[in-house]
Amino acid sequence: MIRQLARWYAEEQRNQALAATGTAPPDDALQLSSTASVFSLNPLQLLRFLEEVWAYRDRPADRPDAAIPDRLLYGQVPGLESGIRNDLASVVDDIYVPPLTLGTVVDGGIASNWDHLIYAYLIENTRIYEIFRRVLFEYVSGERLEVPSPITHRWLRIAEDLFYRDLPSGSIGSVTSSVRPDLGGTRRNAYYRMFGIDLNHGRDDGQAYSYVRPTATNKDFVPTFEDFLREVWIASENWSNTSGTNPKDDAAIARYARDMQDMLTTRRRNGNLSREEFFIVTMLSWFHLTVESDNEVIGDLKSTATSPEERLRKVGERVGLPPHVHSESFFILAPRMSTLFSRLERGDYSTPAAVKVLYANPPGPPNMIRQDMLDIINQWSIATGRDMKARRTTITPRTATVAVGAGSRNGATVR
Amino acid sequence: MADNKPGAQTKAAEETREIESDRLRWLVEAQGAAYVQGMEVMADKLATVLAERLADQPRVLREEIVVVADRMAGAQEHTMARLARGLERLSQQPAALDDQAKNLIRDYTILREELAGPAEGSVLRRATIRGIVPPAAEVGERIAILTENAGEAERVAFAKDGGGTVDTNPDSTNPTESVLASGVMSGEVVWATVPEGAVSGPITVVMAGGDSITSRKRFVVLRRETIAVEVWSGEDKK
Repeated sequence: MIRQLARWYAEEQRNQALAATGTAPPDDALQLSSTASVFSLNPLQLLRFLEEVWAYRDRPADRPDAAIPDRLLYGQVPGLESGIRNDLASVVDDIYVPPLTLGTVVDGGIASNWDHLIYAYLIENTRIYEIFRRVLFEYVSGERLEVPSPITHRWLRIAEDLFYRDLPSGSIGSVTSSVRPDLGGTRRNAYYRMFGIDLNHGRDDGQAYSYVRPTATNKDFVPTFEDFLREVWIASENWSNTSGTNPKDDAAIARYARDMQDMLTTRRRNGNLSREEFFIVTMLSWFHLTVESDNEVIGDLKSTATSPEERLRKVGERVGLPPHVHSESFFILAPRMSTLFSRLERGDYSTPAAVKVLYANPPGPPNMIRQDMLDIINQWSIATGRDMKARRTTITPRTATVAVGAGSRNGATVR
Repeated sequence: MADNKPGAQTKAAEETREIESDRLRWLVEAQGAAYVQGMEVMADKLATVLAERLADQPRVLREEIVVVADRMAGAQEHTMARLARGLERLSQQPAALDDQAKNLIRDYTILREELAGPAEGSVLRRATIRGIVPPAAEVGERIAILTENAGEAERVAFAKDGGGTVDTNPDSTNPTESVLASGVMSGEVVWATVPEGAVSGPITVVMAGGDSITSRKRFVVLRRETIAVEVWSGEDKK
């Protein structure tokens, strides 16, 4: 959600420049300036922004947790707004109606969507949250790191206020309480319930992370997902075969997609895990945005580099906590798997007739789903060490009680 | 992603294959036509030359020439047969996707772009309306519609009261350039005047090829209304 917000700021800045001069600033410059715009917000604005995003959410019936009442949204009680709408006047795909329609209009411009929980899981696997916890600790408790710039000061305040403490009661992002006091445990609990897996790291001291592991989880999710990837790979290799055997199996792909859809929607009945997902992906999106460019925070940490994983590695070195070695794969996988899982969950690929979009490469404009699927297959294989381009090998247990007799190989006689 | 990574290589290979396939088809067709035409011209010339010169040549030489001509014809037949087979294989390539598949790809692409951050937004290259400046205007005022990957605009359609659209021709179209990490992306600023009868709603830009793109958000048409205000002077009228 935070990365979307940064993109909207980039769009606005580009639109204004194009309308004024016909030339947009370079993409890198827009990325930096839009990231700085997000970091410059007040924590209260961002908190309010979260409420607005939730209020304008897509498919509210599936996510029934109450939003703030309409009368507290834009145009009703001036002063309660986040103010972000006024910053994004010319953007056409944000959640706000144009600022000039103040009055009775309370609906959003475009229904808001946010990343799937898998996005947060993959980004958190890089250890980014723990690394920046140490950064925050160093900045607020001493001067071992250099004195932060004004923008970094603002970044620190937002990070501490929103992501390293309990949010105010009643906030849509408030997912901790005396019943579940540990935010880390809440996140791991959500990952475990949805995907049946834990993060790849425990506590900073190497100990296992203790949290509640319920019995109702999707333990078969990852094996099913991997079977799905294998079938899509086979199909993408053979989709244009016009002679000879063709091992692609649309029915199998659709069955795996349907199985995953069932598992995911079962965990989400009546809006289960929606608020947790919303807040957790927002939080990880904040940290992802932080390492996506050589912004002032990264500059202050002397960690400028050409890729998110490299920046994270340098930040980790500054605070003595290395990121995961496959961070690059996690950063590539996160946005792609997020979109794929969102569409899987809606049942887009649950019928054999619909699955060819996952691998087809017809003439004409490139098929983005296929491109993303190939990236996912490659990067998942790298991150897990399990080759998704190889057929699953089924190990048949050696038969323990082979009948040994006259016809046996060793010719022994059974007595 | 750097070019030496597996995903990038796969993508590059696919794009190359697609381009190569199109180029091959074109070459085969062009070469086939040129080849046939060339052979016809050559045969005509050969026949003329033979008619002029072979009449008084020894019989053996004439037979040798006939054998060579036969071989040439055989080679031509063989080449044309191979070309025909190649064309047939190309024509057996799977056709474009059906509407259901196209819709699924479109939905996926929209969501992917919607969830993308500023670092990714520009790598998703689809025709789109990037912005409308200003987002609200009165009838008769000029607005700038910023498009990307869309080409030249032919028509701009505004929402109309009671349904349908009010079409207008763009006042002017200026190309724009956005310098991205991956290259230069072309776009257009389409200037249009809000036409009489337009009401608030999405704006559609129709391109030269007939394709169209519609803004996802409503453009607001402002109405200027005259309000008569009677001021009471404090004295009752008689």
